[in-house]
Amino acid sequence: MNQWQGVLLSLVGIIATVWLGITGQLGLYIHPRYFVFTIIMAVIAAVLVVVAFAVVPRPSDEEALLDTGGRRGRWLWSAGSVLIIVAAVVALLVLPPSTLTSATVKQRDLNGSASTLTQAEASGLVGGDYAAFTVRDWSSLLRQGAGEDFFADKTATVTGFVTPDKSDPENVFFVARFFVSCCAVDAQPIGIPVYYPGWQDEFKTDSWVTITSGFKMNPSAISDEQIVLVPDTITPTERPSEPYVY
Amino acid sequence: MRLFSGTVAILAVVVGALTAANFTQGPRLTSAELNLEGAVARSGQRLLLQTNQPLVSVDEKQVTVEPKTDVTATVADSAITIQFGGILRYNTTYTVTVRGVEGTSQEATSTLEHTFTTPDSDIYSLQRDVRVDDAGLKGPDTIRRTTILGQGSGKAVFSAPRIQEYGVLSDALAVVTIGEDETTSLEIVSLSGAEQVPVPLPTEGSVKRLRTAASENLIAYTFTSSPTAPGPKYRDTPFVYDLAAGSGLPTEVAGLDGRPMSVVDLDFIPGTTSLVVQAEDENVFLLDALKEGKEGTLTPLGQHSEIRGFIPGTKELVVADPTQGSTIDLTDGTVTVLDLAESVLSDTAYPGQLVLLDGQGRYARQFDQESTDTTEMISAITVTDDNASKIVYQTASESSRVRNFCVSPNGQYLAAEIFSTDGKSDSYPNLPATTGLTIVLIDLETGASNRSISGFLPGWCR
Amino acid sequence: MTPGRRRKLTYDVHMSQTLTVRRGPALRLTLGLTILAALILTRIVSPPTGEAGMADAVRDFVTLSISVVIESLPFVFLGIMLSIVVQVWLPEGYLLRRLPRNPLARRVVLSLLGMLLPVCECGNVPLARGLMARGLTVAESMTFLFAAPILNPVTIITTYQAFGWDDGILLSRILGGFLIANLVGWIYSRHPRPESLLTPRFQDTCALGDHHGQPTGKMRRSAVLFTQETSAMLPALFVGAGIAGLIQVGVSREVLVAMGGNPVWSVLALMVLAFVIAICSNVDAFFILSFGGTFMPGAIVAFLVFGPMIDVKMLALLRTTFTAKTLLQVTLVIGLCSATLGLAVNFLV
Repeated sequence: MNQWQGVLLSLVGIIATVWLGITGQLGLYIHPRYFVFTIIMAVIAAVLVVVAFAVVPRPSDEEALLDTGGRRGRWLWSAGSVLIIVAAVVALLVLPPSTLTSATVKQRDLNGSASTLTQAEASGLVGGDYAAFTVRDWSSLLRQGAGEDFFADKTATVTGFVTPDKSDPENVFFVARFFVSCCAVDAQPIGIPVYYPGWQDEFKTDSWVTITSGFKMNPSAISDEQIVLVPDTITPTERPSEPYVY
Repeated sequence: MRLFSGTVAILAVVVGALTAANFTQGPRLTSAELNLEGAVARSGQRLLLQTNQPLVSVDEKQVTVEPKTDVTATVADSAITIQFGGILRYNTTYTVTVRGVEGTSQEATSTLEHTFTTPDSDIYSLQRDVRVDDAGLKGPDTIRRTTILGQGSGKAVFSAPRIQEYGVLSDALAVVTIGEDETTSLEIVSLSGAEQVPVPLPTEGSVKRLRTAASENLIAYTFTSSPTAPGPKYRDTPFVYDLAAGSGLPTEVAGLDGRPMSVVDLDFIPGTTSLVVQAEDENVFLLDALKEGKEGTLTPLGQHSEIRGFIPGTKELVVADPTQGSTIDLTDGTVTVLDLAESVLSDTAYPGQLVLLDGQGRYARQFDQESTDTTEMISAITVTDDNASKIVYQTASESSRVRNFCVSPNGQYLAAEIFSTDGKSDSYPNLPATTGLTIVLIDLETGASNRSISGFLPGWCR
Repeated sequence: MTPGRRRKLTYDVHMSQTLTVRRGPALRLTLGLTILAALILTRIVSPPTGEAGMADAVRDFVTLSISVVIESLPFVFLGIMLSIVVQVWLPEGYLLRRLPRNPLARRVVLSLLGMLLPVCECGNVPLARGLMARGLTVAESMTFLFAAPILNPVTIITTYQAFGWDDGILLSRILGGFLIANLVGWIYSRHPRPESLLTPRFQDTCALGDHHGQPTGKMRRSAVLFTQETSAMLPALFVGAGIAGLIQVGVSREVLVAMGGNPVWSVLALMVLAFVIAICSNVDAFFILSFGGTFMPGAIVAFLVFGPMIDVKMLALLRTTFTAKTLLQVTLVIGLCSATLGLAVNFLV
C-alpha cells in the first residue's frame, strides 16, 4: 500500500485537475495564469502514473530502511495512508467544487487588505471608463476616500455575492468578490456596501446578484459605511465562471 | 564541540537581543497609499498608512499634518486611515506625523511619519494677437499651457487665426474659433497628438458659453444660428456633446415645453455629468447631460438673477438675487441664504465680482476705487470671513484693473485677469478682450501674487 | 570503512535485482487502468454543483485545502520530473565530478547543487546518503542536504509566485538558506570524528552497498523514482493542505491576528507550525501564503527557512542516517538561525 500511496494520490489529484480544467472550473481554486501549466503537468504526470502501473515491481527492502518504527508503526502508517487517500477522493472527486463563502469573508476582514490596489493604478482609474469598473475598482475608490461628490453621478454595474455588513446587517449588505493573487488560499474579500433594508427576505447570504445603481450617502445611521449603493432593484444571477477577481 | 557550543551561545545571544529589540520597537510604517491627483481635486481623500502590526485606535490629536490640515484618523487592523478634511494644496510637500502609535500585542509605541508632495497644476491661458504683419495678415491666437511652478506663459498647445474661447478636458481641449465670416466652429483638439475633431453644429451660427466637465469628457455650450442660415432657428440654445458617445452628435437641451431652450448661463456641476442652466426668464434648472431628451429631467431650482458658480470642493451652487445671495446644495436641495460679513472696502469702494471660497461664508470680492492722487480707478480684491477682512491683492499701477477672477478648484489660489486701461480692443464679436492682458495667481494663504502669465481666460475658470 | 573507495554504487534508487516480479506487467496495468476508470467514474457521477449539505465553514475548509493541492500539484510533479531527469537520465556522477578542492568552496558549490538537482527535501535524504557513499564528507553532504530544498529552482519560482518581492521574503529565504547550510557544514567540518555522527545502521548500509545492483532500464528506474517521490511528498502535501484549510477556517481571526501581529510570537508560532506540518519546500510558499495577510513577514521567512531543513518528517528520514544527538544539535543550530533571521526581518523590514 505504502508504495502505491503516492501514485494513487497523484491519480486523484490529476483526475480532479483535468476534470476541473475540462469543465472550466479551475478558476475556483487557482489564478488563470496557472491554467495551462497545471493541465500540462497533470497530463505528463498521468503518463508517468500509467507507466508506473505497468513497470514498477513490488517494493524492495529499501522501503523498510526508510520507514521508521516496527510492525505497529507500519500498521498505523498504513491506516493513515488509507485515510489520506479516502479523504483525498472525497474532497477532490466526490464533493462538488465550490467558491469561498461568507464564512471566509468574516474570517478575513472585508476590504482589509492594503495590497489590493496600488497608487499608480488608482490614479489611472480616475477618469477611466466607469462602465467597465468592477467591484474591485469601486471598492478601492471608496477606500481611498473619493468623496460623495465624486460618486454622485456615477453609476456602477457590479456583480458579486451577498454578504452582510458587520455594523448594520439589517439594512446594509456588501456585494462582494474575492480578490485572488495566486490561488484561493490568499483570497481577500472586497466589496461595495449596498443599502437595501430587508435584503435578507429576498436574498440569501452568498447568493449572486447584479446591481446597477448610483451611489448615495448611507441612509443607515449605525453602519460604518459612508457611501453606499442604493438600488431600486437587484437582479439575482448565476455565479460567474470566474468567480474571483484578479 | 567547542565550536558547536560557541556558535549556539552566540546565536542564543543574538536571538535574545533581537527579541528584546522587537519587544521594545513600536509599530513601523510599511507602506502608504494616497491618490495624489485626487487629493488636489477632491476633499475627503484618504491616506492609508500600513504598519507591520495590528494597532490600537488612534485619535486625531495624535496626528499632525504640516502644512496644517484638518484630518480624521481611524484604525482598521494594522492600517491607519487618515482622511483629509479639505482639498490639498498644489505642489506642496506634506508631512503627516502620527505620534504614540501602539500595537495591540505589546506596549512599545512609535512615531510614524510620511511625507508626500502633491502634484503641480496645469494652467492654460489664451493669448490673442491683434498685430498685423506687412502682408496684412493678423498674427495667430494661441492657447498656452504652463504650471504654477513653471516659468513664463508656457508652451503653445494650439493656435488658430482667431480663438474665441476654450475649455479643458482630461486629454483634450474644446476650442471655439471664429472664421472669416464671423461664424464660429467648435473643435476637439487632442493634447496627445491625435487629430483634431470638429464638433458638428446644427447650421451656421455662433457658439458661446463653452463649458467642460473634464473628468466626464463632456462639453456644453450655447448655439445661436445666423439669421441667414437655413434650417431650424436656435437662440442661445444649450447643447451637450459627449466625447465618449458613439453617435458623435451633440444633443440639444429642450425646455419644459419640449422646444429648444434659450439660456443666459450654464455650468457643469464639478465632477459630475449634470448641468445647471439659467433660462432667459431667470429660471434655473438642473439636468443630467447624459439623460437628455427623456421626460422629467429638468429639475427647477427657482428664479435667480445670476448664477455664480460653485463653492470649491462642493456641489453648492451660488446664486445671486437683487437683495441677497444664497447657496443651493445640489446634493439635497438645501437653500442657505448667505449672510456675509462686511469687507474692509465695502464703505469706500465700488463692489465688483464676488466669489465664495468655502461653505463657512469666506469670500473674495473685487472692489474698484478711485486712487488717491488721480482720477483713475484701481482694483483690489479682499478676502473676508466672519473674523477678519483683508486686502489680498491690489493692482500695481493705476492704469491696470481686475477684469475678472476665479478661484482654483482646490481653493488655494485666485486667478485674476488684469487689464490695462490703455490696451486696444480686439473687437471680437464675442468675448472681446484687450491687448496686454495678464493672469495673476494670488495665493490665498500667503497673499503672494508673484506668478503671472500673459493672456486671459485661465483654464481654472472654465 | 571508507565508502568512497567503492565505485559501483547507486545513490538514489536502491532496488533489489533478485526480486522476481510476481505479477505480469499487463495484469498490473489493467489493475491500474481499472482504478483510474473507477476514480474518473466517481468524479463524473458525483454532483457537479450544489452545497452537499455542508456548513459554510466546512465548504470553505474543503475549498481552501483543495486550492493548496491544485496549486501545488503541478510544481510537485515538475520537481519530481526534474529530479528523475537528473538522477536517471544524466550520466552518473555527471554533476559531481569536478568539485573545488578548497573545503569552503566545495561546500559553497555543494549548497548550490540544489539548483541543478531540484529535489524536494524528502528526496534529498537518499541523495545525500548516496553522496556520502561516493566519498563526500559528512559536513559536505549536510551542507547539500540543508541548502538544496531552498536553493532549488522550483522552490524559488513558487516562492516568487506566492510573494513576489514583497518584504524581502524571497531574498531572505534564499540568502538565509544558503548561509545556514554553510554554517552547519562549517561547524561539522571541524568535527574530530565525523563518522560518529552517523548511525551504525547507515554505516552498515554503506558497507552493504554493493548488494544494490544497477536497476534495470532507465524507464523502470524513472517509474520507481516517481512512485517513491510521490509517496514521500504527496501524503505530507495533502495533510498539510488540510491543516492549512483547518487553521484558516477553525482558528478565529482574533487569535491569528493577535499571534501574527506580534514580532516575536509570530516567528515562534510559524516555526512550530513548520516543524509540525512538514510540507514540501517546493510548495510550502503556497501553504503559508494564506497566513501572509495576518502574520508578519519575519514569521513567514522563519517558516520558509526552518521548514525545509527541519520538520518531523525530515527528522524521521534523517534518523536513518544521523545519530539522535547530531540531529538534536543540528535542529538547535538551525532553529536559532531561523529565529534570528525571522526576528531580524521583523525588526528591520
